[in-house]
Amino acid sequence: MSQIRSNVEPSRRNFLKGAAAAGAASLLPWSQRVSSASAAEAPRTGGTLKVAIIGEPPSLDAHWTPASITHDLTWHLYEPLFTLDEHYSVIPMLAEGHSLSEGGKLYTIRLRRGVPFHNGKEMSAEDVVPSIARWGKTATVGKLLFKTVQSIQAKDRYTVELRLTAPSGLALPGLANFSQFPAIYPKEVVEAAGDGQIKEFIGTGPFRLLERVPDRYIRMGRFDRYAARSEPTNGYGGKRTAYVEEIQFIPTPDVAVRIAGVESGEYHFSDWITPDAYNRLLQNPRLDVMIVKPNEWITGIFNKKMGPFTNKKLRQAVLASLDMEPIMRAAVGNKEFYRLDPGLMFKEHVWWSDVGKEVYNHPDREKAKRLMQEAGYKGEPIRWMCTQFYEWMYKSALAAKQQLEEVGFKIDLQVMDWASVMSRSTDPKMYDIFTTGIGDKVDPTLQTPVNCDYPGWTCDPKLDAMMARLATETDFAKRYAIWVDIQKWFWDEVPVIKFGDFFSLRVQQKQVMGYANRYRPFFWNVWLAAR
Amino acid sequence: MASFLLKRVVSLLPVLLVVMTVDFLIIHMIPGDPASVMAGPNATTADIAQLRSRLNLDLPLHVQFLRWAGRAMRGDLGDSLFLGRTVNRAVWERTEPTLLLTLYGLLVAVVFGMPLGILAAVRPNTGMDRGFMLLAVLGVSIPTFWLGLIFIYAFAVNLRWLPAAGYASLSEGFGVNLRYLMLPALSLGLNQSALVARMTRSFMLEVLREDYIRTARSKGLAENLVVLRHAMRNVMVPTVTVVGLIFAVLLGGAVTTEIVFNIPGAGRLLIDSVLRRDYPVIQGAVLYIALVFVVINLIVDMLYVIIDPRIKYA
Repeated sequence: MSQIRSNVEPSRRNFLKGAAAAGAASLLPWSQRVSSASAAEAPRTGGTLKVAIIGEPPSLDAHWTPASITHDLTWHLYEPLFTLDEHYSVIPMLAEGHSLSEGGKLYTIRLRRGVPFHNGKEMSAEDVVPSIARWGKTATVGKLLFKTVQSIQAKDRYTVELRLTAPSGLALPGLANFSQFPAIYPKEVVEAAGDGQIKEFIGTGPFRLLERVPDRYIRMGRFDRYAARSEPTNGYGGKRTAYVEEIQFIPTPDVAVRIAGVESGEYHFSDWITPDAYNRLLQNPRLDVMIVKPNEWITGIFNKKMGPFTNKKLRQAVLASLDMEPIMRAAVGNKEFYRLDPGLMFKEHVWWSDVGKEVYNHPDREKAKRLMQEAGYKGEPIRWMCTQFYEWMYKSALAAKQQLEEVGFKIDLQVMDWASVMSRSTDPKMYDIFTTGIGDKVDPTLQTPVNCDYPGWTCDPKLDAMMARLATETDFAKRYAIWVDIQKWFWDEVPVIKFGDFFSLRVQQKQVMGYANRYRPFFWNVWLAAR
Repeated sequence: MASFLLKRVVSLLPVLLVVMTVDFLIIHMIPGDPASVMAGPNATTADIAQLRSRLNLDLPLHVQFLRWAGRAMRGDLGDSLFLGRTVNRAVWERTEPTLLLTLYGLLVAVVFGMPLGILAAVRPNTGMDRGFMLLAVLGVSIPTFWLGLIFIYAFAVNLRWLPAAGYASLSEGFGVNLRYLMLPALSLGLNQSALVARMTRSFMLEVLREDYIRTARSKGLAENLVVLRHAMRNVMVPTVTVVGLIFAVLLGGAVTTEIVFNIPGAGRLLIDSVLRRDYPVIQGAVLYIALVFVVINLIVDMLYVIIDPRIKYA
């Protein structure tokens, strides 16, 4: 087994250099598309922006579900205490600022003043405390963070104290997280919800909810009394301006319909467009197309609780069998839309590392056969679950199956709908490997492939100890060093197979101005040019 | 007639009970549940179990069924797990788009299909007959969704005459409503017009061979009067049966059209609910569909009596 090396020495100076480089590099894909002619035309208010989305959100309660569609809609209505700038650094949003004391165990968060909710009430600590407490009980990241939370209370009307039992590197990134984000609701809304979902959708965001008719539209109107931050827009933070009068989010599950809708002028914007439409849409003079980097990485998650992949050598044999280029080409198609990279955090991130490049995507069939023999594999069928609901999951599994069978594996590919995959993935008796995608994470402690509690059950005392240290360390350089060690461990143990990164495609009419193409879409600062 | 109606209404009950039981059992037998869908792919096993408990999905199956069935008999089909409204409201909101789409589709099927069938029957084995029947074969063979995509590409994307997708309710204006439903209705209806044409031709040929038609011709009646006044009446009885069946088929087949044209109808509601395992909606929607089928059959039986006074029900 070749030695796995890191290409970065962990030191504060290197971190600063790396962060600057990563920050500069990260600027390129993130800001590769701000709508054409935006510099030439001044923003104008008015109009209704029509956005075709991939489906009906399961809830408009940001705490309730990690579904990205819920987040993509509701962050126009609600805001968190913190958010992320374009380098993934945590910056204040509803917070004015914070201080850390008592050895990293006490966060004192100062709130902005004069920030109204949509119902006119001023946001204060009496709203923040129950909102964050509810998020800590409901959201996956909240529950993770709240394992170390001793108390959260209002010190005064505009100050909140979050006291931890131990320092946590996750505290601020968690409070700035995208998925199931810690939206601040009025206290009364939280109390009325009880153990269920919120019944009123009131926040401090630049838009307010006008109407929701499931499967038809979710209408949001400009909130005229919105209290914007004064500093310039920076990533997801800074000044947010609602230029359009109304946004209509229109559930449109079929991708062909979304494309036709934007082409015909029915919709202004859509995302999750299949890459095979890229070249054709590029030729359309009425449209702007945008590649979204990063997006997700495709993975096969081994069942390490029972079955053949409890054996590390067999997992290593699978890795040694696979040539990732044809798999990603089969899954995604257009070369512009995928990337072969060993990083568990994306290249655009300050957390990225290429540790593992010596073993990732180095197919060696002789080595694979030897490892299979050492693992005692006798040709038992490997149950591989996937779904055609996401074509790239199915196609990657199909391509991998072919390569593995050429080496001597016997693969029983079980294709089912997505709900069945998700349900069965929690039962170790049902599968040996399943395909899914891993989205962008604000912090490596949230990486599911190296977490014991998630399907696949990557449980290892050495890993758990490193993850615990990562969670409690607050200094970035030290955290980065721990993360590099974790990634080294990952490419030795191979708890999951990483096939590669893939990107998605967005399309909008040229009339749409001011749109900043980032990982998650948002429509503040967007306006419609005159036709 | 009144006792006939009463018997039919009473016989609804066992039918609905069987539908409710089979529906409930089938949806609970397939893998996946709403908790795992709602919790998402990054949830822990504990997260899903907690959500399952909140949604009362951890209760024994028979308890879940009895609770649901008991409320359903009182007209309360429960709340959607995903849509933030009651099942009744979710289904009701989608009735108008599906009903209108089906009615417009049926209109297209009858308006195109019947005249073609009649013309083919009165000129049998001619070039016109063969031409129309060839069109009918093509019409039946072309998948509705493909026709829909062609229409979208031609009339929406290229010509920009009509919207590519979406729906406007009747309350927004009949004209706007028709604009959004024109392409979907055409793609749905043209497919079925082929069937209407073939069936009408077949019925008409049979009737035109009858003695009373020969008598009408020999009395010197104009051919169009023979066909429209004498033959049509007898063709209507079987045609109404076919139209009734087509209405039911269109109701079910509308789901592909609803997906292609992004119409928020009942068919799409059912598909989306199955995919995300929204149990209350699936159970409630299937019950409604069963009810609709039974009612349509009843209406068709009533229409027989109106069309043919010789038919009487005990």
